[in-house]
Amino acid sequence: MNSSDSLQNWKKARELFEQYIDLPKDKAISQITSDTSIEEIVKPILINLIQSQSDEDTLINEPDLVFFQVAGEESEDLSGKNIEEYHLINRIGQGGMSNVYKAKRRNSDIQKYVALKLLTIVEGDISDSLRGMFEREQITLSKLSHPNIISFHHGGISKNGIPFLVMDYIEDAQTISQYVVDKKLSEKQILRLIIKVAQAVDYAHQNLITHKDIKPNNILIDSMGNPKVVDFGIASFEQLDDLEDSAYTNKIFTPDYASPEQINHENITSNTDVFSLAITLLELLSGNQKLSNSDCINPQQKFDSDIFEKKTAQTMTKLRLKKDLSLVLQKALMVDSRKRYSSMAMLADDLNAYLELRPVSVRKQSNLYLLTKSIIRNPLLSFVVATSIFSLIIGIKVIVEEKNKAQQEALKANQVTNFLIDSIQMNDPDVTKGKEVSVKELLMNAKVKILETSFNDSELSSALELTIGSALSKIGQYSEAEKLLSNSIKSDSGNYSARMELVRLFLEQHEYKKAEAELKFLKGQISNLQMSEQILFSQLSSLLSYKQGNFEEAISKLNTVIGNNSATLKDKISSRLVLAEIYDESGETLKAVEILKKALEESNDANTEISTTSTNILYKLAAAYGNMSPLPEQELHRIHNKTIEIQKQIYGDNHPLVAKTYLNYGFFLRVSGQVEKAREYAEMARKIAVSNFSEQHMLTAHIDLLMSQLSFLNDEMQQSIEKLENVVKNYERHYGINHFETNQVKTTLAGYYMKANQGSKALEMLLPLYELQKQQFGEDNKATIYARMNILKAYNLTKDYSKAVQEGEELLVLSRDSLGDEHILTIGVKLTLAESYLFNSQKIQANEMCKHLLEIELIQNNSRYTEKVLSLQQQAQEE
Amino acid sequence: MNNQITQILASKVNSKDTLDRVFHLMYPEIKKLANSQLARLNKGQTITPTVLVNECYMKLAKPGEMSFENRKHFICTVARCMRQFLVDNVRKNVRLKRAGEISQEPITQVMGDSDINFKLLEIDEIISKLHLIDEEMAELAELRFFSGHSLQEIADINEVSKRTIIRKWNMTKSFIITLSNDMKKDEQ
Repeated sequence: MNSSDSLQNWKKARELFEQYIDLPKDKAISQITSDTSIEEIVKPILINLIQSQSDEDTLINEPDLVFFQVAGEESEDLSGKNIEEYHLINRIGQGGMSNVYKAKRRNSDIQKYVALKLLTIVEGDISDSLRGMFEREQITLSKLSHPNIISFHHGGISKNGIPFLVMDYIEDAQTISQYVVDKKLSEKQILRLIIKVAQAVDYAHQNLITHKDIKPNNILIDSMGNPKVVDFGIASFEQLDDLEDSAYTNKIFTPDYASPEQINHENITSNTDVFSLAITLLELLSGNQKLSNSDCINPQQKFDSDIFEKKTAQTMTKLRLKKDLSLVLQKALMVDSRKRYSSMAMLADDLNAYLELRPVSVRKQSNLYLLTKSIIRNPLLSFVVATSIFSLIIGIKVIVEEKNKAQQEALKANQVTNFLIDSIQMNDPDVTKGKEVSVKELLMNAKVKILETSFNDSELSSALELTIGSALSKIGQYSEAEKLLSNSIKSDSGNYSARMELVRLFLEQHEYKKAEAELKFLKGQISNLQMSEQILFSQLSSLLSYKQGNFEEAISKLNTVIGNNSATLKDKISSRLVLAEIYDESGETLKAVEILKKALEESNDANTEISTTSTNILYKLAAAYGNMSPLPEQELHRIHNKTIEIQKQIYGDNHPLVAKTYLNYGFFLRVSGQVEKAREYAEMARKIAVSNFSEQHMLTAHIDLLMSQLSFLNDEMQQSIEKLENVVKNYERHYGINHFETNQVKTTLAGYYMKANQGSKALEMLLPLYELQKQQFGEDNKATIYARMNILKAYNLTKDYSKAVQEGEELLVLSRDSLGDEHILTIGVKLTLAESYLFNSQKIQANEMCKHLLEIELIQNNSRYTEKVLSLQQQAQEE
Repeated sequence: MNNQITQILASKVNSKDTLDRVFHLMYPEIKKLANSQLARLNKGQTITPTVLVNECYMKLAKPGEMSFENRKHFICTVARCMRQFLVDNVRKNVRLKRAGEISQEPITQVMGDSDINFKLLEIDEIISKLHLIDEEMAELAELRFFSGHSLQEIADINEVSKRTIIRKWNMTKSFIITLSNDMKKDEQ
């Protein structure tokens, strides 16, 4: 196109082109050819234009087809030169922004090598702000001290203005990719390495350092096979000429391992590293096949999630990873950083879980998944529970096979639920607490497979989750139960029974806030509840009221139910039982017994046969009697014997419930002074417990508690301590180390230690307990003060007198302020303090304190205390 | 960003004259930025104009500071600068190679890809020609090749619908191909 004519022609062609652009090519061409108004010169241009139209997506459509390759010098090799106090030996690495040299300190005979990273200087000098940033980075990095992070020694800027960093030199280092190939590592071994890396990076995150550039080349393996992460936060050094906020990495990187937010230049958080590590892991697992993220960048330089997700899915399928592992990886590779693991620690946890065959957090916690995992880990069998669940499963299986009647069957599931709840230990979690649910038998039965595949009907699955959840809660598997119940609610938000079970569970575990929340929700739905559900709701909310200290409210709620004419007998009885429980716990045992008797009457009237309900009531009655004072001894003997008789009839001689009743009887016998008889029953109970369960079972632990008390009474200190130590161990295992039941026994054990003059052991128990109490309830809480007082006594025993005095004086002030001068605890503190003063040779103070104590009414009225104080005073006055 | 540039862009004057001035002011900045980025690459590493340009955007201006019309001008000017920069680079290399000297310039050659093999200088020429035939098409082509904006973004900048832009782009494509073939014929 040379002349201006030509230009004119093109212009004309351009105008005409618009007219023909929408026509099919052939038609357009024929029209043009036959159109006489178009100049002949212009026609060919026009025709060419039309022909060049292409329907296909040619590359020109997305024009970044212009690639530029960088030529240019390789950065100068400075081997042999000196940088500050180091001599560069040879170059071991080369990167865009820097070179790494093996170096050694000049003028030093020590053959200790370091790795010196020299940053290649970019245009312009280093400004002051950058210098400051550089220096600050060094301080943070030098704080990182971790076996799997390469140690950073120091950094500096040479006389020529070149920044450099000095780090450990690793002899014979390989990158993790090289190592994996070289040693032909298995999946497990690779995972172990990555877990170590994850933990190292997590450590850095705790110190507020993000790596930002995790990739295989940045993970070295030393000659012992330990991974070492390098280049920590160095990524930010690459922005030395960046005057802006370093939240954006401004470098042009080959973003093979970069996270979407890095590629999109968005904000980077610590789980950016999670992403990069996951990509690295995936690559290693696939034999170092690069999964370049750079392929996933679209021409707008944005991360293309679709391409990425497709690619990773492909790779994972090819690798045939186990489901759990792919789920973990998927979560780590979520494009949306909010959906990713929020920390390296969580990723490490899940990888560990995967290796140890435990459930991973990512996996949807279906019943069968949990059960499967627990079986693989630890199959123990609880006979009663298994049979119940077994029959449940069979019942459900029948339901499931008739797929058409899903709705009706959901209702049936309710019936099965009730059956299950009734038959499992009569609501006594103690009897089976601590046993793993083993459904090994069940799983071996193919029927369960049917269960799993039929979980399409959400109502049905919700009902099943409820059933199994309730069962688990009955046997004390609270967290599992909670999960299932929550699931059940999720699948069917109208599942009020599940919510109520959840409330019961929360109450059992003393999580009152959670119980309250659920009850609140249910309250809003109260019109939707059926009658029986409403009654259950009232019972539960009254229990909560009571636990929260609202005794009156609780009682009145329950009485309303009982007085309600439309309530069924069952409801009335169950409400009476709850009422009795409340009275019993709050000390009005007589009233409790009254109510229980009434319940028993009603139950007997309704049933001619001996029913489980009646036995249940009897059992509670026996327990209630045991709390009365003075003890109605005759009644108690009678009740207990009757209960035992009936239970043996229903359940057999060797049933755990019988053991429980023996135990209760034993407690009663102990209290009434019949130590030997108590022991007899305790032994019988123990035999049953161990034969049904094991030495480590909760029931055994409770029996041991009684036996320890019996030994204590007989002054058999050593035995009682031994037994109680065992109990503590069991409680720790079943309830958890910080559960309040555990703490109760620990406190008792501490008391035993003190009685046996083992002060230091007592302190060992008491100090952590006290800390816990302080945290949970505050320093000025009664229980905390009580715990602290025991500690004072223990100090006296261990002869730490000055400490005892110091603590004692502090505690006295506290107790006075919070509880008052006349409070029995304050008095207790004074008494202990008096002793401490005496032992600490502070006779004057001791005397003063004793004088003061003798003026207190409580002391005066109690001869034992008076005696004690007088004797202390005497000792103080001697000299 | 350079005060003069801001002022000019803020003045909303639309004359070609003004835009030329902006170009001349901006070009050295862009050159410096682009060079420093290229310096950070390893030998043999590749880069595309889009990536280079992105960096320039980030460095040169914050979106909030510009009015809408000026934003358009700004972007078009950056694209033009980038085009200039790359072309200059390639020309220098060509010159040096011919003179037997080893190129010190960061950019060596342009790699085309698959079915349509364009070279940078060729594109440059085509776009120049397009400027004579139809300004809009030329601008569109420049943006497409050198600014990394998507069709949607370009539609937004021009305040038209995406469909309109697509149509325009299709036309432009035809012109590019036809002109290219034409040029090849001339060379023969």
